[in-house]
Amino acid sequence: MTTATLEKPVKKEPRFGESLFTKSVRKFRRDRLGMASLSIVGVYAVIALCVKLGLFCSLDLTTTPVGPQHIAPGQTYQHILADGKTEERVSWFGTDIRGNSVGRKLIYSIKQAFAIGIMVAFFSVLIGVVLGSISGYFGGRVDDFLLWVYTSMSSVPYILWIIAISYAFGKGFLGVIVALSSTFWVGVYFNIRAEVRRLKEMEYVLASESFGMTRMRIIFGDILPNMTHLISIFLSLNFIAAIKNEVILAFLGLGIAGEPSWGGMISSARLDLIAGKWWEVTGATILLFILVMAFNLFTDSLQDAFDPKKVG
Amino acid sequence: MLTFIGRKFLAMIPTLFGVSILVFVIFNVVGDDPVYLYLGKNATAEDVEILRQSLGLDKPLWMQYLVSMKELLTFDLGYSMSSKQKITDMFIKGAGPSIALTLPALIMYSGISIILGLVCAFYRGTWVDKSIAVLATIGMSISYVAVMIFAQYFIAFMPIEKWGIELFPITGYETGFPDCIPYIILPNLITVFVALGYNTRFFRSIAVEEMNKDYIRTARAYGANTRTILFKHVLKNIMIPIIARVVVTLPFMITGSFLLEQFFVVPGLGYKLLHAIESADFKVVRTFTMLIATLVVITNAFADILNSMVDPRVKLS
Repeated sequence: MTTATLEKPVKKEPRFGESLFTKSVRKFRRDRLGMASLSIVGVYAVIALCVKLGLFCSLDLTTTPVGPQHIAPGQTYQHILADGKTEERVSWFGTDIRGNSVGRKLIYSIKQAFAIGIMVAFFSVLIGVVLGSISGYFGGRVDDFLLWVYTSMSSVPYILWIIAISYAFGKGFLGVIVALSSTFWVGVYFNIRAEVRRLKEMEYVLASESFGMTRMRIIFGDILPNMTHLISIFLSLNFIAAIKNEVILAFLGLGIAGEPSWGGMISSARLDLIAGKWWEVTGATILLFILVMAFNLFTDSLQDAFDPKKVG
Repeated sequence: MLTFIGRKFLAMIPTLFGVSILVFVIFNVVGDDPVYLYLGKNATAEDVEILRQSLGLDKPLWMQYLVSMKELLTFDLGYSMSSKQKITDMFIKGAGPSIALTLPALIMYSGISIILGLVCAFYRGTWVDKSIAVLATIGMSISYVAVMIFAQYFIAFMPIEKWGIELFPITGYETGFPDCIPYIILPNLITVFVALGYNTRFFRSIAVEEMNKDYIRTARAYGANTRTILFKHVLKNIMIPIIARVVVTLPFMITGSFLLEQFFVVPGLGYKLLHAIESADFKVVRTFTMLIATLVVITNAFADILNSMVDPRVKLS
């Protein structure tokens, strides 16, 4: 019985002590479609950040007319310079009804979409996670009450809540954020609550309890890190839902007023399309479609990566 | 069974109570003063006072809540502030077009997406499955509003302009059964297009999950062919989530009907509600929200009961 004669196992990768998160990252990296969609989202995010930092397409540039109204993409127009001379210029993406450059508006709207998406995703998931954890961990009266609020809210079609809340809070950026975040936390809450109820019965939570940890420490220190996968999936799902619903709100006349956004461009240009001016609505639709599509594929890959049943 | 049904309906009461409180808080406490919204900025103090009294807004909040509850419970919903119509009549008249705009679509896309889901499970992992999944993701990613705008342009407007053929009317609605058909086809097609992606993905994941279960492996080992397994075993078992999903989405079709009615100028529930919002007719808005919520809660209860009838495993407690 000599262990020394046994061959040492070849150590390939440090599988021991690998957390769910690092394992998922490793699985995600192998997913080519997931990486491709993540890079598309990344390109959008970089553009959004540049716009936010004011590197190009700032708000002044997008709302000051550059030339005559409704120039078709690729068409040339006479641009009047400050000293009265005219100069031939090409409008690559056309102009809208007020003569603003559609291309600049499209780029600026990327920033708007990210602002709405990130804020709504953050706030709705924050509310959902905090309430869901409290509800799931403590149970009892708190749980009954929060569950009652949940059933009441989910009994009304969410579009009604969004309309009602943005009606109450007024139009504009803040109204959109408040309306969407106070509606989207519902789904997050219910799933997080179920997960916390499952995790709270686990031995490691029992161990923490027997060590005399405080309840807050157990919820946020022990249970929460084990829900990172759920939280990140909800973050990206709510991001998609937020930018898609911004279009719906804009169409209903409750969107961001005064600043360009894809929703505003799509819904204001519906009459332009019938008049043959297709570029504004088409451009906004395509950019929105690519972002949502990439995000959807990214979410799918994320779900696969976090799914422990799938070996990778 | 009867006690189960009774309990389900009793459980509706706290939910409806919660909805009524939420609606009341949003419209009466958080929202702008409906009196000023309705009368505009140039109202005299006298006008404001009269309207405030006639709406009962001078009373304390809890009194206002009780009054609004009494109106709902006795079905004495009063009249619209802007059009002076009876709110109950408005709701009943608006329900017809809303249902015509969405119910055929619900039946159609549910059928198609269940079939597509089963096809995916049948051809699991092949190009058929993959291309359906990709198409479903593409369908999911297109904005609802954009689909409406482009569908109206390419299907209704362009044939008239280019070739002079009127396939579908561009907007509008006519009441009555045979007259409304040309007006409802295009909106229904749009709903089918938008909902197909989500539902195909949902039914595909259910069917695939069911195909991976042990009893399917047993059936395979006994020599049953895939078609028998799919239609005899899988379909029967996934019927439960299918029913649950279809019944639950039924009242949520209002989302689609909101946009469609606004876009195609159809005087349904969503159209009326949006107009009430625009004209600051807070009474109509509040009542419509409450009535729609009631419908949702009742359908949810029915979905639970239906589920317990289909699935013998559901505990009647």
